[in-house]
Amino acid sequence: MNYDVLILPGILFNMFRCVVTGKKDAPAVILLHGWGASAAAFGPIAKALENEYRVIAADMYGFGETPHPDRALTVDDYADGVMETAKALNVETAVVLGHSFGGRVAVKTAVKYPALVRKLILVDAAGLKPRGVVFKRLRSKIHKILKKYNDRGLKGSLDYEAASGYLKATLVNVVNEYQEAEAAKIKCGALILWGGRDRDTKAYMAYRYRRLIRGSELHVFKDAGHFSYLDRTAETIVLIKAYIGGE
Amino acid sequence: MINCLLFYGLDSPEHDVSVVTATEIMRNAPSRGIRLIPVYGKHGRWFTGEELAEITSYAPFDEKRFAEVVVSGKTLYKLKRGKAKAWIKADCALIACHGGAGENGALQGFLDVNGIPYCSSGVFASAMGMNKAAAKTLLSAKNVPVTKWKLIKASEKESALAGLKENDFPLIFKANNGGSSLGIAIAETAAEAAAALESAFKFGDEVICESYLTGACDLNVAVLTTNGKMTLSEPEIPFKSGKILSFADKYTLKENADDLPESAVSDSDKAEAVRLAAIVAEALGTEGAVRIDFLACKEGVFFNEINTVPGSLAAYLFKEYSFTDYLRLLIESAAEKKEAATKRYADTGLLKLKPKGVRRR
Repeated sequence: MNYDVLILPGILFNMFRCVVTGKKDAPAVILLHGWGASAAAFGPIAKALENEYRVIAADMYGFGETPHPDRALTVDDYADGVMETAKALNVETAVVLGHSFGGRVAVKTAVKYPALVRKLILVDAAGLKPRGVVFKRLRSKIHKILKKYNDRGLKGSLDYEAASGYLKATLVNVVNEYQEAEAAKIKCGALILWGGRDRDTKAYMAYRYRRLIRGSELHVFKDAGHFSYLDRTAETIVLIKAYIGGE
Repeated sequence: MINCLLFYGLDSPEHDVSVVTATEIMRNAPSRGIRLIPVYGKHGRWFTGEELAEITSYAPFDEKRFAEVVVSGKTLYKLKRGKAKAWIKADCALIACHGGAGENGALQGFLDVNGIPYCSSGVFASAMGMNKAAAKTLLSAKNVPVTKWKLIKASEKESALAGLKENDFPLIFKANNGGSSLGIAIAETAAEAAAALESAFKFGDEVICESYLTGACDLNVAVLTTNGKMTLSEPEIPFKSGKILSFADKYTLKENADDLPESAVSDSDKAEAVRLAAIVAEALGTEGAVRIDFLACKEGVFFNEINTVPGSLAAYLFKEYSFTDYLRLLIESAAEKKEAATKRYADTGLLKLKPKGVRRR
């Protein structure tokens, strides 16, 4: 078997550090993890694909072993990172799979670099404007008023509290960007996989993504959560393989 | 693009093993240029759906969650509210049924009639593989050594037990039509023989009674026949926890696999097993992957049984292939059989003859 395991340093080339496995000359699959996760989160998926594909699991800026640059990033910067990484690996065209925050990056990449993204797979992807924004606006007002008095205000989300330094600023940039307009511009279609019991990116977002992306197909795993691909690994693998293998 | 149907399940004592093999296949299936469609048989009906890849879908199996399908010719139809809708055209089939109708030639015959080529042995080899007595009869005619054996019908139970002599023991009793080690027992005395016979009859209507070779070692050889080319695997000595290879040994986790009695079998015995395996495969005309089990002991190497649909399709015996590449090889070779499988039809003109000389009254 012709296995090629490669670990690339991230900082030098302005790209992601990646775990690359699988056959060298096979079609590439780029895996983009969610917020707070890393390349390792795709273990079983990468393993199932490496027999037939070149699997590139990235650690995106600020996660895993790729450091975060000393400035606040936007989703655009992450999409550029995907492109740089692909260039460095001589990947011209690839299947891009994004989970959660990785889904935002994948959508952005598909719009910004349509030549790179041959097929798109979104798993419990973020990026759409969540419901209940009015309440959130009210909450931020309260936060601002409180901050005046006790200098701390309300607590942020779990991700926000866990982040530090520039990553915190990046998170603010990222969650405040809504990608409805971009999703509508995607031309390559998409396979959308979702957990029916997802509490972070709820299932209504899955249906909205399906409506927005032309030629997309949706599968909802009834009893799965936000990490639906880990709850229903075998089924996910079968669906992914059927989607990217048929050509 | 090759559409390959994966048939598995069916009502057999080895249903669960079949499900394990099939989910394993689905997870490792090749995808580039090949689409594998699971077709799960349950009580005479067929079901499909991606969810079948999850092992949790089977305990218990909720048929409402899956689409029912029917096979007519090469076309797979989805049933919806009693109406069949053409869904997919099959190019070939992969059989992952262990025991029962999926391994004894019945499913193979069904696929032959439908004109769907498949990557495993045909009706004859499958039927012979499932019938231990028939296989032994045929193979002894080809000079393949077999142990002394006798077939016992349900009606002959008492007379058979009465006819056993002291120096016949130890004996081993198996269901003639079973596989997978279920209902196998060794008897050292007449009392044990009665119990062993009873347990074997639970798994079939006929029981085969063989002399048990003391100190014999199991030796398995896999034979892969694709596109008319035969490849033989290295002989493997399966791990066993007792005197015989039990169901649990074969399919549950092996924790102390280091205890393999590697040294127990000489190299010449191994070479003999490989030689015999080629004869057996040739004589039965097997296709795809089969596993042939031998017994090696002081007296020589004896044919024990043949599995025409072995567990995991015997992929682990061919170390040169990854499971994915192995499946690709099997599926592609079956799809190439397309021409051979088309039905032969000779137009004799018989049906076009107009009756002559028959006068109407």
